[in-house]
Amino acid sequence: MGVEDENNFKLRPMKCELNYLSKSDGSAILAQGETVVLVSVNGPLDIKSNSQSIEKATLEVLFCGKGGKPSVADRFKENVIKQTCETAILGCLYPRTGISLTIQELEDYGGLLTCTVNCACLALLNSGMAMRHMVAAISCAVNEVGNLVLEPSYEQVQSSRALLHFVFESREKNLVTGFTEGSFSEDTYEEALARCRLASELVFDFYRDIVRKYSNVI
Amino acid sequence: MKEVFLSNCEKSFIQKIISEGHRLDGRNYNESRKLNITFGSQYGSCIVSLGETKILSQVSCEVVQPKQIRPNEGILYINVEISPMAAPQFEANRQTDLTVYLNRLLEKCYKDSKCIDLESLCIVVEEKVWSLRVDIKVLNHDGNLIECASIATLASLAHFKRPDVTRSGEKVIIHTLTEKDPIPTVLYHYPVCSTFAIFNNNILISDPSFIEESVCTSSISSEEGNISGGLLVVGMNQYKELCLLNLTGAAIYNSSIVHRAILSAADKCKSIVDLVKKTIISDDNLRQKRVKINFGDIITSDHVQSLSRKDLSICLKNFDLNEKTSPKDEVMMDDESDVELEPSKYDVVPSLPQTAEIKAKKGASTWIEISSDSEED
Amino acid sequence: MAEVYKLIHPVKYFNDYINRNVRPDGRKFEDQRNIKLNVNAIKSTDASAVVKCGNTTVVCGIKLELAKPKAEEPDFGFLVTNVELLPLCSSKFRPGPPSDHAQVISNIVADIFANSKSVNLKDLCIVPDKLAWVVYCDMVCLDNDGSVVDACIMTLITSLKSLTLPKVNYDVETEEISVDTSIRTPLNINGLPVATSFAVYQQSPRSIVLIDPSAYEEEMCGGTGANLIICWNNGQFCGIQKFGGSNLSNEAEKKTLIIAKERSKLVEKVIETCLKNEIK
Repeated sequence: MGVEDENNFKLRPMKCELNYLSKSDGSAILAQGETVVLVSVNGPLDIKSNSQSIEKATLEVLFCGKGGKPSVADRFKENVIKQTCETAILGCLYPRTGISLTIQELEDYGGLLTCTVNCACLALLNSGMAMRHMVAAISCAVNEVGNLVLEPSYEQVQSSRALLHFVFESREKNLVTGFTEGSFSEDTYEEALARCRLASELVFDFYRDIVRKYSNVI
Repeated sequence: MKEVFLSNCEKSFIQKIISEGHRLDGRNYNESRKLNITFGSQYGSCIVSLGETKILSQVSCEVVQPKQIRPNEGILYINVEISPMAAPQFEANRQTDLTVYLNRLLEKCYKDSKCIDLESLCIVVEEKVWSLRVDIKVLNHDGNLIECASIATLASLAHFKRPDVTRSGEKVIIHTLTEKDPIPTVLYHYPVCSTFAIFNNNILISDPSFIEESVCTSSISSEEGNISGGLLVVGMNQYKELCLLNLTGAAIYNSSIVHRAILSAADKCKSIVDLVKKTIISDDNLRQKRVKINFGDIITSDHVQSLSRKDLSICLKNFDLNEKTSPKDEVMMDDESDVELEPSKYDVVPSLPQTAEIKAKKGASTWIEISSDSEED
Repeated sequence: MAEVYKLIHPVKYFNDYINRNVRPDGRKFEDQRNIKLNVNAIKSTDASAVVKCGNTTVVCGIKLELAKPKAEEPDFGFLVTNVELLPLCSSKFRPGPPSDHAQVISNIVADIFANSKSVNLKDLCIVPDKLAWVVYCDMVCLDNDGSVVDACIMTLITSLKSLTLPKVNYDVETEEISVDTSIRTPLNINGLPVATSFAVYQQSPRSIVLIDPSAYEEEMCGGTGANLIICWNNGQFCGIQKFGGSNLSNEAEKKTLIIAKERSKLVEKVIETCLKNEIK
């Protein structure tokens, strides 16, 4: 199964800019290949008393598509981001406050949700929110012949049999979130998971690179 | 989050420097911020930035049944959304007065001015017409949303191309972009809005920033009586024809001010429309050469930190960004406006032999101390 | 006394149970709740099923309609799934438009079902570009005590398996439609997708996986709903979704896959037995 690219993790080129928006507490714009996402973070801030929690900060996630009306699929994306970020943010440090995360899709050429998770993590880093760990999302496609393709391009996504997305944390590379499309065998799943876990290191390196550049200027 | 209100001293400061001919970011009265238009990979998507105000616009189309009263006309629908991304005070999924106001102004400017040939959007009379939907998303709110939004709407409408359609008998075939070249939208004229803030009933300021907008719409009373101002939106096309006039704020009792605004808007709108046309042509040329255009191109590495020079929001009037000044000088120049290092609140004191302590300085507390023997009076 | 303790020290109360390798409702970590399944209880629908997993109760009703296929996909029918979580099922839900949680559940169920490819939408087309079946599958949760997705998938697939389509004659010339309800053909269903929910609880240093969690356990593990849903169909996975909760290590994850496979065999048997009983 794809022996030739066993150790060849070529992710799509990533490009990022922190602090893209001046009015938000933290923001990041991230391009992974041709997919581009903009995320802004505000908080911790004052929220309505009925959505406050005395234990931890309430995370509010809003996903805005590019055009058209909001749909049920958007709610699902919001849920993925929300649950992922909730484990990453040390919310117990900010009780009775709200953290709002707004996501704007700019270009969708496959892997929108993984790009969004990565961008959200960068925006959270930019906002200076206390975090347990970073998160990195990697997607993997199973093509028609059954080979695994890491970080598939738009054409590869269209022709794939199944798509697997994983989010790992930075400390022990445990699985934080995972979601799949299409059907696949157990072996495929195991292999995809192992490969994505290795590849997540590249994303964490990218984060470090960006933050290093950024903090040099301060 | 609740909206952050400006304090009276901030307001009077702005009023004062404007009446003396200065602006917070060092611009002249009729100087606009830098306008930048970037197109995305799809037809009809663009990000327009006016200084730090950033707006995303996307045009999409679908085939619908026309309205009964206008069976041979397509439909134009404009939708403005302001998410918490624009500024923290906005709530998600809630219509505010501002969104309604923006929506209405854009409708006036683009629907009611009849700049789009809606009849060309008709496919089958009384059955099928194209419905164009413009989605305006405010990414960053730093004042003058209406001007930025109108440029975004115009640019995306002019840039948009809809799929070609062939009719064979009763069947209507919609071709994908790869099958047949898409058709651009016909625009009779290019209207665009520009905003003026009115200060002291006399001074006109073009392209107001967020703080200037909030100061001019809130009237404050000072020693010289009630100073009132307002926002004047002028919509004009490239032929210097007036399409829209809107005033918010206090009534104007100096009628010449509107005249001045229109004169100044005419030139400004013309230059904006020229820029929009120019960027669309250059974008078209790039597309013909099969250059991949993507929003990823707006990501730059020179915009890294809010303290870097490009991002200084407060500038002196004759402050030249290109002027070679060492960072040290810059801080010095800045001192005048806002930055001042607080003196250290702590003293390092050697107390006992071989020990040292950090003590809070006497009187360095930022709290106002009130003692009985205060000699202030 | 225990109730007071639960209120005052909610986390410790739960931890005490977990430390003794037992769950608050007396189950072992790897025990699932009892399942009761019933088909065609509702006569006004074209097919229906009711399932009870422990306290979680979900009803699924299927209604058939005829419609014109979409212009872009002229030889496809429609299958619309919808999950409703009404205030009736839990105090967490309020009347009014569907909550975010309900929309997420609805989306997960629709996704799992679409990914399993159990129903070929081409089978639902009668005359290409003219006439096709619309199968409305409405699932209503009567009692939400955790693992709603499992129950939804179970009722959905059971009712689809018992669904029969009446014969439709379509006259191309006159565009006349006549439905003959006496001749019915069952819908072709490929495989039998079964979802299994897990909650992942972090009790350092070990992370514990609870199978078929109750609503209380789901809440204690953080996150809305179950943390991990594994769907197994025809010897393949057709959906592995993990959201929130504690992070999952490699070993724990392998264990869940094995459990999910075993449980799905059991559930398949339940569905088959139930359907056999019905025909008799």
